[in-house]
Amino acid sequence: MSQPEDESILATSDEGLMLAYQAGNIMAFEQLYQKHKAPLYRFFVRQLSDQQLAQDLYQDTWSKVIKATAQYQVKAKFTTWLYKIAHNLIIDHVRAVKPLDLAAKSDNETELVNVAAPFQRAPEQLMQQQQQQQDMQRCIAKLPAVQKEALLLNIELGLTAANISEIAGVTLEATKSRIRYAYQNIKACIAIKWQETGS
Amino acid sequence: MSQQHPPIDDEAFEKLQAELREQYRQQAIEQPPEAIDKAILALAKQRHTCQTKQPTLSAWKQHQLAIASAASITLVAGLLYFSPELLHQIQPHKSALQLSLSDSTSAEKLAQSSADNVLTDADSSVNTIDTTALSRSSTATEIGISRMASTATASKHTAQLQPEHANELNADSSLNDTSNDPLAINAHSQRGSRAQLSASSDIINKRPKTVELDTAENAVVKLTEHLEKGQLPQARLLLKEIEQRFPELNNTKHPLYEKFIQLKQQLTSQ
Repeated sequence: MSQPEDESILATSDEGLMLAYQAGNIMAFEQLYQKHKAPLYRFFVRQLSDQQLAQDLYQDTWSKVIKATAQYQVKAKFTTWLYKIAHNLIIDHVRAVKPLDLAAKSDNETELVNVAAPFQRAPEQLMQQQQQQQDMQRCIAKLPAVQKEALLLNIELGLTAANISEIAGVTLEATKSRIRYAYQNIKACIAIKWQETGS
Repeated sequence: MSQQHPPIDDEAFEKLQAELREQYRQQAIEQPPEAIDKAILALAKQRHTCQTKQPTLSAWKQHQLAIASAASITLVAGLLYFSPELLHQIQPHKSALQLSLSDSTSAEKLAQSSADNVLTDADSSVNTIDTTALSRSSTATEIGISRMASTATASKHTAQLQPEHANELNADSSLNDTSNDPLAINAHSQRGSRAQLSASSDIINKRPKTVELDTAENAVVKLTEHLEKGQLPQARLLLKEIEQRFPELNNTKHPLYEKFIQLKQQLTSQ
C-alpha cells in the first residue's frame, strides 16, 4: 500500500475504516482491530468470571463484525455497533446458561450493594499500587451485572450515558443511575478495602 | 448486603469519576492472546479473499447456460458426425414428428393436394370415370370424398372443369353446407382433422422404412423386388442407400457379394 493511502486511513474514523474494509482494504480492518481489541477484550474479561468464555465471546464478536461487513452501513458510531454486538452475546450467554440471573438483574438495577465483602489479605511483598489495582478489579467484579457493564463502557471507552443506553437498550435515566451507583459502589468498596489493609 | 450511599452532587460525582478513571487506566493492561489476534485477522483476510473471488464465480455462473448449451450441441454434432447411422434412424421419427406436429394449414394443404390430384384425374377422364369410381378413388380422406363427389357431379354436367374452379366450387359448396350450422362447422372441422391425420399416417406408412433395411439380406431382397417389378428409379435409390449402409456387401467374402454385384450390374446395364 502506498504511503498517502496509509495516511488517509490513519486519518479516517472508525466508520471510514470499516467502509474501507468493506471495499476490500484489509489494512483498514487491521487498524480498526488494533484500536479496539484491548478495550473490548477487557469488557468481556471484567464482566465474566470465566476467562475462556470471555475469550470465546470476544472472538465471536469480531467474527460477527467480519461477517456483517458486506451489509455494514454507517447508521451509528462503530463503537456503539461493536459493543451492542458484545452486549447481545453476553445477554444470550446469560440467558442460555443462567436464566435466573436475568430475574436478579432488575433487582440489582438501582441497588447499592455492599461490594466490600471480605477480601483476602494481600501478601505483604506486593507493592501498594498492585494492591490497589487488584482491589479495584475485585470491586468491579462484585458489581451487579448491569452496573458493571455501564461502568466499563463509561470508564474504559469514555462512552456517554446516551451511547450506553443505546447499547444496553435501556432508558437514558436508567443508564445514568447505573453509572452513578456503579462509581459510588466502587469508591465505597475501595475505601473499605484500604481501611482493611491499613494503606 | 445493600449499603445506602449519601447522594452526591454532579460536581462531586465528576471528581469521583475522574479519580476512579485514572486509577482504572493504571491497571487496565489486559490484552487478548496473540493466537486470538492472529485467528481474527486471518478470518478477516479470508473473508476479504472470498469477497474478491466472488465476481469470478458469478461470471462463470453468468455464462453457465451458454457453455452448457455449446457443450450439448458439440456433443450431439460429434455423435452424428462419427455415427451417421444415428441420423438415418432419427430421420423417420423426425419426419413423423414433424407431420404430427404440423399445423392445420399444412395438413389442409396435404388433403387439398390429394384432392387436386384426384381432380386432375377426374378432369382428364371425366367422360369415362363415373362418380362412384371417383369417390372410390378418393377414399384417402372423408373430406376428399364429399368434395370429389360434388365436384365430379358438377363436372359431369359441365363436361369441362378446371382444378382452380373446382376448388372454388368446393369452397363455395362447403361454405353453403356449413355456414348456417355451427354443429356442421364443428363436425366439418373434426372430419377435416381426422382426414389430415389419416393422410399423414398414409404418407408415413408409404414411406420406405429404414427399419425394413435393417439387414443386408433384407436390403438385397428389396432390391431384387424392385428390379423384378421394373421399378428402376426406386432400385437406384435403394442401391445407393445399400452401398452407404452396407459397404460390406462389396467385400468378396460376403455371402451376398455375388448376388449384390449381379443386381448392381443388372441395374447399371438398364
